[in-house]
Amino acid sequence: MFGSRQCLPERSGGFAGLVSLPAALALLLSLVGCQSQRQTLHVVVVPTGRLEWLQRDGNDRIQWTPLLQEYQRLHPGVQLQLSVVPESELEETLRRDRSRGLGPDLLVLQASLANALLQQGLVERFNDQPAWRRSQPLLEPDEVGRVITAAGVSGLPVYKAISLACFDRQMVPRPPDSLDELLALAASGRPVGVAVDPIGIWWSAGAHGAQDAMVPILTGNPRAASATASTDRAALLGWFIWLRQLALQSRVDIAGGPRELIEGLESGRLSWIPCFSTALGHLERSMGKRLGVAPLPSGPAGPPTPFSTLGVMALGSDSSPPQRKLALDLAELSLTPLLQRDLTLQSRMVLPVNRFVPVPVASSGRLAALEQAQRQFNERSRLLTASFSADRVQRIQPLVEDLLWKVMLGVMTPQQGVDAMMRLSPPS
Amino acid sequence: MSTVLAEIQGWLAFLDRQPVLLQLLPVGLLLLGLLRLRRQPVRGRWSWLWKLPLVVPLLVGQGLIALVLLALHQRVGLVLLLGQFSLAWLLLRLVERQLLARWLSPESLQLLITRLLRPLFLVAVVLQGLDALGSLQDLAAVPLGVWFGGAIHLGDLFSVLVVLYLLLVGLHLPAAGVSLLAQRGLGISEGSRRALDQILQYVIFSLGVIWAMGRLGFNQTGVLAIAGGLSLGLGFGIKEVFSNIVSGLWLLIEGSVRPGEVLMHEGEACEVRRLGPRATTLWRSGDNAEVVVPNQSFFTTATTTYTRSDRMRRCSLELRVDRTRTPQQIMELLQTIAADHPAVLTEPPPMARLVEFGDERYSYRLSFSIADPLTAGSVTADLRLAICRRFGDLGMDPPA
Repeated sequence: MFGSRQCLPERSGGFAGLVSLPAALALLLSLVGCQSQRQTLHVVVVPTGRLEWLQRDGNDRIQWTPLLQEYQRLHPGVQLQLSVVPESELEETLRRDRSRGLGPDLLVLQASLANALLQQGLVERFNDQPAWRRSQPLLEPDEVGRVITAAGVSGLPVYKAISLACFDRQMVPRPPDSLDELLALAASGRPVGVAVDPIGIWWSAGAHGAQDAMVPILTGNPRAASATASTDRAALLGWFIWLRQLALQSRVDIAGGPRELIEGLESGRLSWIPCFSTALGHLERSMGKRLGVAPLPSGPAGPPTPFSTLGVMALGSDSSPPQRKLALDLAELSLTPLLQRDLTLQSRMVLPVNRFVPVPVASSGRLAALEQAQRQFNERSRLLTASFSADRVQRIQPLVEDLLWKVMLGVMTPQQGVDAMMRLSPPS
Repeated sequence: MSTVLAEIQGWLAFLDRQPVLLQLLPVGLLLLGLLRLRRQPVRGRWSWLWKLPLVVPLLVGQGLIALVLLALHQRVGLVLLLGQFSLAWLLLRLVERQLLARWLSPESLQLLITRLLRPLFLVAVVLQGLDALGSLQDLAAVPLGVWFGGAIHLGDLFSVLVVLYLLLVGLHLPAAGVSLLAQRGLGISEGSRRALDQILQYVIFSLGVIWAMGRLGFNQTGVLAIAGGLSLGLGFGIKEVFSNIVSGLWLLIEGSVRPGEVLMHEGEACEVRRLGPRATTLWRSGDNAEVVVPNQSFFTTATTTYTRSDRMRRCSLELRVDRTRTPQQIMELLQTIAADHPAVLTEPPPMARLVEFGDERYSYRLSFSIADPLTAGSVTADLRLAICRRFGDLGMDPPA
């Protein structure tokens, strides 16, 4: 049909004999035409850093099932392709895909990561979209503030995850409410696990009043107006002295990271650990009713400062206009009150961001613990609710962790640790 | 499988994107244009262009397209990826023609190219392409169902197939190396070396199959079910096949038929070229033919071999000579003619015997030994010619 008559006798063999130029063009155009009738949305899910290994049991996909089902009900002709990209490979993957025009339409990732990608031009600004104007009133100002950067809004917040305490109910009938009770638990022969990463130990900074000193170091943001170098030093010293005492306990295991802690709890080697809420699904599947969840213990300076992440949906930069519209539809749909509630209830790992959706704490102890931890974060970690880039955190985190190791293991005295930590502070 | 198809269908969505079309269309048109140009008659001063491999102008064209797209501030990643494929293909061809062709025989080179290098290149290109279009890890995690108690994923199946294929086509060289070392170290015979080579290939491939079953998560019950099914099949349809495989293994272990040995098959001396799992390949020197014989036939019928303990073969020819000379003179003459032939061994010496009296002629048998059993026919023919010539020189009638 598309081949010219003059060409016919020349089709003696080979690839060129089979495919003429017009036929190849027609094939390509028909493929494009067929595809336009059935759309595909490429969505990349980025697991929480250091918990990437949980993706092997589909941990990061399960919580999205209600949203995706509802989306496919509303858009039956759209095929959703979900892929998981580890945080460590994300930037390289996006740069490579962007150079080819093959980037995803939508990314589900942490706000700090989206902020960094927006600054590098690897995701699109969300505030240019009408969907942002419609969605903004549904969000708490704190959540909005976490995605606003100098380059624009990096993504639409969709969920919150938080660090809290996980324990083995068979070994720990009542979780410790205070740091003293935690030490007593370890002293009673029940092994306690901690790690020097944001999930594993930094919560205890707030319990000693050191959060206002630590947050500027982590995020690079300026310190609170009320804070001074001397108050920061004093708070850090109190925290480091406690860390050293903790490390001297024979039943306290200082693990290399969240994976070691989680596996220790699963195997019964540890009775109590700090954990991140996105790991609860995995822990529940492996531990069943043995798993207990509680807020982290308070200290002499008050409640702890759990680490919270804000999950956002960011727009890829390669989408065609129809694909962009489909991506925005999905992002906006995720804030629907019913789906926000489903996201929380079905996963029981994350909290809603829609401020009109209450967390049903009465029927679930775990959700109550999540809610309380989130409240502690909102009250005690005000500085972390400001927007910051993952770049700074990724750069400074190994230095801080190394320093904490040295203090806990006695390589540095607490005072030396304070001096070293203060040198990491951003310039005033 | 539906997941895989959905994944592939999802890739077509990329064609909706302008940057993707801007990269694919020029490269596609370039390729088709080059293919059409190649079919045109060769022009005078540009004829050298037609002699270049197609991939060279394609690579140059891809580079130019990338430069133009860059100048227009467009994406070029896909063009560069396709350029990488073209470059890799060009390098592969250079390695094949300029490097490997110097070291390997044409047959070995052809086998290496068709069975290893080009399949590996194809697999690498496909994997790179899949990785560019989607997540290779996600594709590898696509479930294909539960087989014999193990949940099979696309990635597992692919890796198992690749490893088994590599074992199948790539085992020859390491097995030959080990058997050669064993021959030098232990002093085993050439036949034993070849047998060891074959046995090593079987053992390593069997280990590969066991690894593959473990990798795919087959449980023992599943494997037993396969064995049960096989035993039922053995009773009916594939009895002969299994019998040949067992016979082949037994022949290797026993050493009665080994690659390199010379044996008689249907009255002709043949050399064993390859003892395969089902059949043995023999080379018949008379007409340079390869004969494929099921292993079972060696197992059930008597086999004459000239190379069991040594490679020497005793040959004989009969002739009738007129009575003008005494038998003693004739026997000495025949022995001398045989001894003069360079292929005839001096030990044991050639021996002529009077075997029958006749009215006009006596019959003689000349026996002689040769080192290479496969040359028996040609040496015998040479001796017949030499006898005729010598008899003619002595004024005797040619023998009958």
